[in-house]
Amino acid sequence: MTARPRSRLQAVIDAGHFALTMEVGPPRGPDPEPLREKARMLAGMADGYNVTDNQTAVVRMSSIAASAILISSGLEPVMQMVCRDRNRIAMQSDLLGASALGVKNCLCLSGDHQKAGASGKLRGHPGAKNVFDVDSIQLVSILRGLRDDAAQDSGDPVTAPVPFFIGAAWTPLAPPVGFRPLRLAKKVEAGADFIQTQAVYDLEGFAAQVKRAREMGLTERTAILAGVIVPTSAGMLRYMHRNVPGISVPDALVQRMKGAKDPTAEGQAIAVEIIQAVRDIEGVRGVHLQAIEAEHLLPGVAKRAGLLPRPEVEAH
Amino acid sequence: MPAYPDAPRGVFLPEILVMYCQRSAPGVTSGVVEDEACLVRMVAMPCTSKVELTHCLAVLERGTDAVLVVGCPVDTCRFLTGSHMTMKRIERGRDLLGQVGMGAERLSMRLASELDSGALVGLARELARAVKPLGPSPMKGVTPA
Amino acid sequence: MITAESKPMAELVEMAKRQERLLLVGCATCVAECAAGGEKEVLTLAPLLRMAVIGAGGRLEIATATLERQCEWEFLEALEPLVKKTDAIMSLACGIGVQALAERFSPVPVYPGVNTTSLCIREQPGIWSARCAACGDCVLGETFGLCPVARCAKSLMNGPCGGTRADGTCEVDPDTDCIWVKIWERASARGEVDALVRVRPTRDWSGSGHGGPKRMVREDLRT
Repeated sequence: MTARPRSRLQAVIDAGHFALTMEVGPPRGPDPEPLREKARMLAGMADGYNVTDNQTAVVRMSSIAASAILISSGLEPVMQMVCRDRNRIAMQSDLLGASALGVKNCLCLSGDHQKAGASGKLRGHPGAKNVFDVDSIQLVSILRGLRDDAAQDSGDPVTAPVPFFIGAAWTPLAPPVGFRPLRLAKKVEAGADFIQTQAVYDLEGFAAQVKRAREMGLTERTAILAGVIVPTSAGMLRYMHRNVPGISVPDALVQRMKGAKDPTAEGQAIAVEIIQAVRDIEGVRGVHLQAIEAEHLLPGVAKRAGLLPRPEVEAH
Repeated sequence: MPAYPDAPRGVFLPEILVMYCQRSAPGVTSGVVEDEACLVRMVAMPCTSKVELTHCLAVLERGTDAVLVVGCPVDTCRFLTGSHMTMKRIERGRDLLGQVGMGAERLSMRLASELDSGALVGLARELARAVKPLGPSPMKGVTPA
Repeated sequence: MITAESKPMAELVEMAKRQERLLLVGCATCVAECAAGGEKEVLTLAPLLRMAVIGAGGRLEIATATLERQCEWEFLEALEPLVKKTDAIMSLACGIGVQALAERFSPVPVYPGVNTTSLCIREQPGIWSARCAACGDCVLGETFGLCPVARCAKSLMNGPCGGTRADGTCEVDPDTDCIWVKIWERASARGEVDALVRVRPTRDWSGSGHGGPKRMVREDLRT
């Protein structure tokens, strides 16, 4: 394999450090300033910053452009790419472009269905035509081909390897639970270097699925970063439990938030505990830490979880 | 469906077709009743499950002011699901009639049992009152397609 | 069957208003099975259209007919005498039937009375659901007879996305099963889950409409 520029995230994982990624949602407009503001707030707090790709099918600044803006602010993006909006031609073209702009990590996702955009106050574009020319696992394969074989999906060559640290998502506790480790295996087989999971609240269930992955030898071949979403209210936990597939929240946790005098502080404490708990699960090599529209909570949680300062590593 | 040419001029006496399950009105025979509020044509059916929406619409298309379907209460329908399913068809028909501007009121279904002729006409009279504000059917006197 | 749904009444009325004589033609095959364009629907729609147009002060005569099939040239001939006496045709057949009438009876305008949507099975009375996407590269032999192209909201080929609800339904519609759950169940019941482990590579979609308008030729059948 051709020598390839390593991302900071990859370097951290390769060096055996417990990795930390966060999320930066692009704005619903052309102004880069909100992004730069978030970047200033979160700089130095994580090894990589996920940049969502029109998450929940709501139009936002493209993840490629937003990733480039993060790079210019000194942050390393984990560019997300969904299969909903582009065919394999556009995807590969965008990957070449993103690489040229300095993007080194890419997370491959199926993408929320376009119907998801019509919720809450937004109309979304539920009448849009989706693409799904390839699925997320095939997208992982495409990235690996571009990187390792300098070849497009068709086999046609690209002029040089396209060096991406390749990620995929995993929802270990969505049904059919028996299928989930196999699906993880497929992602690893296709070439996923790292995995970010759906938010973990049910530690027991999560640990059991990671154990299965471990027994299949998958945790050796890919770095699993457990998803952690800082809860900010009991209502939010209840909402996620009921409405977000693959997230199950033990009732004790909801009660704990409900009884808290300071729910924000309690939520941060819960997040810290979850981070510490998943860190103890063999095969978990990091966390993907999020706070929904409350990014300002992230540095405090990271600090209290003992994840700061981030280790110094040599990336290219 | 003949019009009622001898209706007094200037007075709107709605023409109502009543299709009734013969079990809901035992002993009542098909026929025409000239009530003071409406002109009622009664047609006995073995069960309202035999009433198709196409029948109701064809009658309305020919100028009848309203159609009333009378069936047995859902749980005593001799054909088990007859009344239940007919209610759904009639509801759909009402929706469609509303959409084309005829007025959903022109189609109606009632559930009853042990009706005599007077009671049946009474139901027709109630429907006549409901459609009176709509005025005569715009299809009256129009040549059938 | 090819499934279709009635167009919104307002749209149908707009089309019906354009002329005084309309021929409303149903099709007794697929669209009759899905209660969108058979004889019953013709006899429902014709009076409604007349009432809509005449009730609004317009004029409209409607002749009706229902053909065994609108997608075969032979069946269309029976319409000829009726077409001679109409200004336009409204077809309640799928898009194939509409185009067959438009081609056979050009220049008489032909309007679609239904929206053709999908290839469905009647699950139970009053409920139809998609079974086939006519994708041009059938994988049913490897997915235990359950189609992920037609029945997964994202046409995923390698297993379920993270959006499967706790009860095994799809995140896009709580009344639709996640087809990958069903595939998994069938594979599990047969002890063949290993068949689902292989990574299925990107597909060739060119056998379907993505390859340009389909044209199929069988030399041995040509006259």
